[in-house]
Amino acid sequence: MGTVFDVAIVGYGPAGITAAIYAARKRLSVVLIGELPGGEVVNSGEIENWTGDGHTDGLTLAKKMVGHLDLHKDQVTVDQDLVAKVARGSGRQFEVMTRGDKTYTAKTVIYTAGRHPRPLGISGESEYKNKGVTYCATCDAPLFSGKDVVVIGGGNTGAEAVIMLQKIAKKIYFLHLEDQLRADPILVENFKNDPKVEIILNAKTTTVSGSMMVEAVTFEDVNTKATRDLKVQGVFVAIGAIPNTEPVKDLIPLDRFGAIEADRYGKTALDGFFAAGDVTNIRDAQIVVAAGHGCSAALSAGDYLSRMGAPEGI
Amino acid sequence: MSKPVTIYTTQTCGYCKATKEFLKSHTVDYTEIDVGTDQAKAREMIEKSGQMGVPVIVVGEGGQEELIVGFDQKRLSAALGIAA
Repeated sequence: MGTVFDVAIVGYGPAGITAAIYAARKRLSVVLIGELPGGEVVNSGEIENWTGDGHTDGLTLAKKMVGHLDLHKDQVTVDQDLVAKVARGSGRQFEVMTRGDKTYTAKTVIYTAGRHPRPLGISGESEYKNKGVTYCATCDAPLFSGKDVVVIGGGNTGAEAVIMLQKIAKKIYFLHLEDQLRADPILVENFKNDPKVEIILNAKTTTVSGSMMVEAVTFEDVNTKATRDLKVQGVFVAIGAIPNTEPVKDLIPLDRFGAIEADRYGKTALDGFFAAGDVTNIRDAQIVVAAGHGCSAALSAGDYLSRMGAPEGI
Repeated sequence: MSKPVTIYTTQTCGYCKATKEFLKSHTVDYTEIDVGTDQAKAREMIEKSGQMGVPVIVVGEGGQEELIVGFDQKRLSAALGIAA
């Protein structure tokens, strides 16, 4: 009989790390499995809405979170890997299987696997992925120095990409499908009067084209149906995100967006299975919200375990 | 004799950081090239890998180079002959 953890946490972002800290402080035995220490926070660029830090950046904040988790390494085993599947084990236990072919058994699961960027689903997009098409401005923006680029998606992620690119690219087209940007005005103020940024509304991107690398993007004006080609070498896609729920799709019902329905305490339809952060149907995909939700999920898991009987150590 | 490891990165890329942490945790020495600041090296990376995503990790040298795009722990472990 191998180790049975009190809690298996899936995900290494703010929700998972916060859940691990709270669980460790309750002296629960924890295994946390996640590929990227700090999760998508790492790719967040500048951050000005994490309480306590007027200004920070994703890498710094992720490092602080991981450092905080390290204080609890006596209680928390970390496996830096992706989870392939979560399933029911014997009795009320859960089995968490990793891509690296490890299986962890736990009495509860806190699932905080986050989201991944949504693709446009248009011609040329997958062909030119990493050949000019990118979903991570924070990662790849520095490679487009002096080039012409397009940012697709007028929300906060898109606006943040534009801001990042202002210092790097020569010309930035900012395309949005609707007649108004969705991004917070405080972000848009950074570039709305910048002559190198051209905001194009009502624009439906239809094709990415090129030869070896991206050379152009075509879009259609949703009102006039007129099409226009933009000669660009970079395409930054920022049209939202899809919950990383593939490993649990046979375990728990998902909503129509593929998210796990969890209440504010991280409880789901399945006893012993908790979820928190961006992978759930939570309204606000924000670091501070994910961290809070992770806390609640850990406290809920703790309550559940006390009702099951006294927690057992490793 | 361990194989030389070169990693093309940008300073802001999370998966680059994760790759470096992984290498450090396995005490693997590596040479880092910041393609965000070095345009010539950026072109070199694009020519070698045929793509623009970072990180690009090159394990070995000469005709024995293995090129890995992205933080692929399994491939990296296999290329370096270390446990994942």
